[in-house]
Amino acid sequence: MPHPAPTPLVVAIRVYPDLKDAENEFNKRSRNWRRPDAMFVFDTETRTDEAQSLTFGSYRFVIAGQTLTEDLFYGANVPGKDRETLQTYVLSKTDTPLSLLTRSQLAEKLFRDAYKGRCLLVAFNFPFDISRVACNYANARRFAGGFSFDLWWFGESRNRFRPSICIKQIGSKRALKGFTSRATPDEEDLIPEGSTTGKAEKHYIFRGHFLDLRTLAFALTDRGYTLDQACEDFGVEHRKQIVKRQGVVTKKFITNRAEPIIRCPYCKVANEFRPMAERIEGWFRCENCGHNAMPLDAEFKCASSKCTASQSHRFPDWL
Amino acid sequence: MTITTKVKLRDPEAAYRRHTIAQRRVGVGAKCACGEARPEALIREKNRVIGQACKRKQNGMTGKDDHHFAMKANSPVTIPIPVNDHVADLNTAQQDWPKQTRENATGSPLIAAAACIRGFIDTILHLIEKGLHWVADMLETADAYLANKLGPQWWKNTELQKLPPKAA
Repeated sequence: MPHPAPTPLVVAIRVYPDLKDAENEFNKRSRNWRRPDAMFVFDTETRTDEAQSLTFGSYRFVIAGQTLTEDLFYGANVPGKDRETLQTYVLSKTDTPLSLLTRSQLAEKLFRDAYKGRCLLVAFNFPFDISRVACNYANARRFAGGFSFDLWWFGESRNRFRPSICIKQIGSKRALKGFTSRATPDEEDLIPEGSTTGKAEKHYIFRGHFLDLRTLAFALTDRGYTLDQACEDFGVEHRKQIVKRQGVVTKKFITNRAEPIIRCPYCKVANEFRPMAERIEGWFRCENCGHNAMPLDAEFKCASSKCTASQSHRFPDWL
Repeated sequence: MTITTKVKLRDPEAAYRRHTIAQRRVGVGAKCACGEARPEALIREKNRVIGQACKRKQNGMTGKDDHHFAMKANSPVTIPIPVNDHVADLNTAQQDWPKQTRENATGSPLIAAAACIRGFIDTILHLIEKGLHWVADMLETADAYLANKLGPQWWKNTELQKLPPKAA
């Protein structure tokens, strides 16, 4: 069979030379990202008018899945009556002590936990929630076309010793997010994330760990979610409650926040695991099988017969 | 039920922040050659990480520190503590005290008394952890070993059978 005559083609090759210095500067091995152990999860409630200003919000500080701190905060322009409602609610919660923080106190906690402590900052529809907590905005230089939110105020201008949070929407469900640099950062702030050497790098800027649950839900399901729909589809125990009048601070509106129920893994009631009763603060016990749980104590081990049996080598794997 | 010797932290957020900053300063996964891995007890040097105790030993110094159990502003009383435990456990526990109690700038006797109580609790918990916890762990391991070797009721017909408590 005769071979056809080869046809010459013009081929262009684009070459990206690796610069030696750049390679030395960015050591990939020392910058492996690890999900932080701690999470700062927050949510805000707003007025329903055009300004949608912050009324109040709540946050939880979670380490290894256990809530260690939980507080409420309120906006700067909340009227005294609403503040009293919040204060009454906080004082009525004797089982899980809550504090009522101002917006600036929350911002201070956010700086210490999310920037200094480098924990994961979590919210549903993060750009909206962080913009409610912010006290000023400007056009972002880092993300052209985006916003730069200032959470920290000094006198009558932004505090340049604190970072801003830049956000740029790149789609209806996705946004770029990051801390900006700040004046005179501490030495520990200049240590790159995941560094094995612990050496500070002069020009390093910590960009933060942000998680938008709306984006996560979209990434997992390819669907745009509201908080209520997401709670339903992901089987969240305490769904968003329906409030007749949004934006008005009432007791029901405040209790909209999720409350944890500790359940026994061995006993069932109808189609659910049986809720455990709280004996003393932080100690839960199943009244059916005697299983104990102390969610705040990571080292606690239950010595009930069911737990002991489950650790035996004779205990079937499929149970 | 496992013995729990941890007290609930007054400010868990600050404790987490201090720990992550200490971890960041020495680097991820840093460890001394002796096995010490608590970041608060490690020193980052030019080309290595070394524990406080090993560093002292290398310089011919003692491995013990005099720990002000109620902090210097509240009581001059000190107790000798291994240097790694001093910096990683007891000093860290004191960082969780209220600032007013730590500093006691006015010299209030009530604050000094509060500091003594807090210091006593921290020290006792440390001693329980270091001096007693291992005994409980060892007894449980020994029981499992004997049950494996001699059967589940290995204490029958031995002197131990006379000892309380009697299980039903």
